[in-house]
Amino acid sequence: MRIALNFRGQLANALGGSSDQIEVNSSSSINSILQDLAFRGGTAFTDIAFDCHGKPSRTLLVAVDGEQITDFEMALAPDTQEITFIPPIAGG
Amino acid sequence: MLSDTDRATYEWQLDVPGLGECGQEKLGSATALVSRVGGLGGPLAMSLAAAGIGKIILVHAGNLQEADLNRQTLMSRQWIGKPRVECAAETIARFKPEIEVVPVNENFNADNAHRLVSMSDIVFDCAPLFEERFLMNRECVRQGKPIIDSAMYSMQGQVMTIVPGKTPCLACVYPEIPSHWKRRFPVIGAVSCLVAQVGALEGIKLISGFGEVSIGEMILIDAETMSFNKIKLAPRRHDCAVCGGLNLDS
Ligand SMILES: [Zn+2]
Repeated sequence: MRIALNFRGQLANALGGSSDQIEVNSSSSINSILQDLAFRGGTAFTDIAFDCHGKPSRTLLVAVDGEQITDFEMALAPDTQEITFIPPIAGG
Repeated sequence: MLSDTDRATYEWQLDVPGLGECGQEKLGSATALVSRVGGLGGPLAMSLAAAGIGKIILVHAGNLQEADLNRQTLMSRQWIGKPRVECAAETIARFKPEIEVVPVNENFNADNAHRLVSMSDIVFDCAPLFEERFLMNRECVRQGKPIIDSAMYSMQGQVMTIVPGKTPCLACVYPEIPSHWKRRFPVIGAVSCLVAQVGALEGIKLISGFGEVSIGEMILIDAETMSFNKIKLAPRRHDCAVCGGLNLDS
């Protein structure tokens, strides 16, 4: 299935754009998508999206079809349309 | 009860369905703390003043610099080198002398946190550092005071309303201080001002009790595509170091 990805804040800079589309399969999870994105985005991406142990950062918010999810291992539902990756920002 | 002057000042606002005299009175008797009066907090405080909030505590340490003038719209060039918070207080006082404005030339810190939050009914968090935001979150949860947390980066912004015990707190959303966040961030004044208005409106609705406050949601603003979205946040974390001990209603 094909789903839309949205990247906010510094993640959009790291990946060279704020949106993309990818092909996923029935076993794809947020973790597996993050690993693919890390390959593409290099350290600019991993510095924000992963912690120093190489695990997804606890401060990275991920919303699937408008709802934050916290289980990054779970396989995506087959009707998933859109995933938004939201790094923390504090600009004032 | 509204005075004749209040009725005259807020005549056009009182026509907004749902606000009414009752909501206006609630605004007039509320005290708001605005942390930082920069590109976000400055225009946010001004909109609270316009709406008729009774008292505003402005918290911001440091002097105005030339590079602040692309976004800090409560300032003026003649003020460079002088405390920002005093210029902000003067600008608001010129606009609405009947509103009590308390300038505090300090940033929110462990020494003043308890006192400043206890003086306020609602806190508007517009600080550029997570350390300050976390401290404010902790103190507001401790005292049961709501926070409107507004933040921006480049062409984007986000606003989240935190009601202790009801919604996730900042530490539920970010269980640790983000290590990559830098004090300096890209900003166009119109974007910080736009995000400020969303934050001000969430607070105005929460105080006056009308409209729909985005409880348990994060409002996402994108000025590049001019789109607004919301995400539903996960429930409060039972193991949250800040609010985990409160009774869980969500
Ligand atoms: Zn919490």
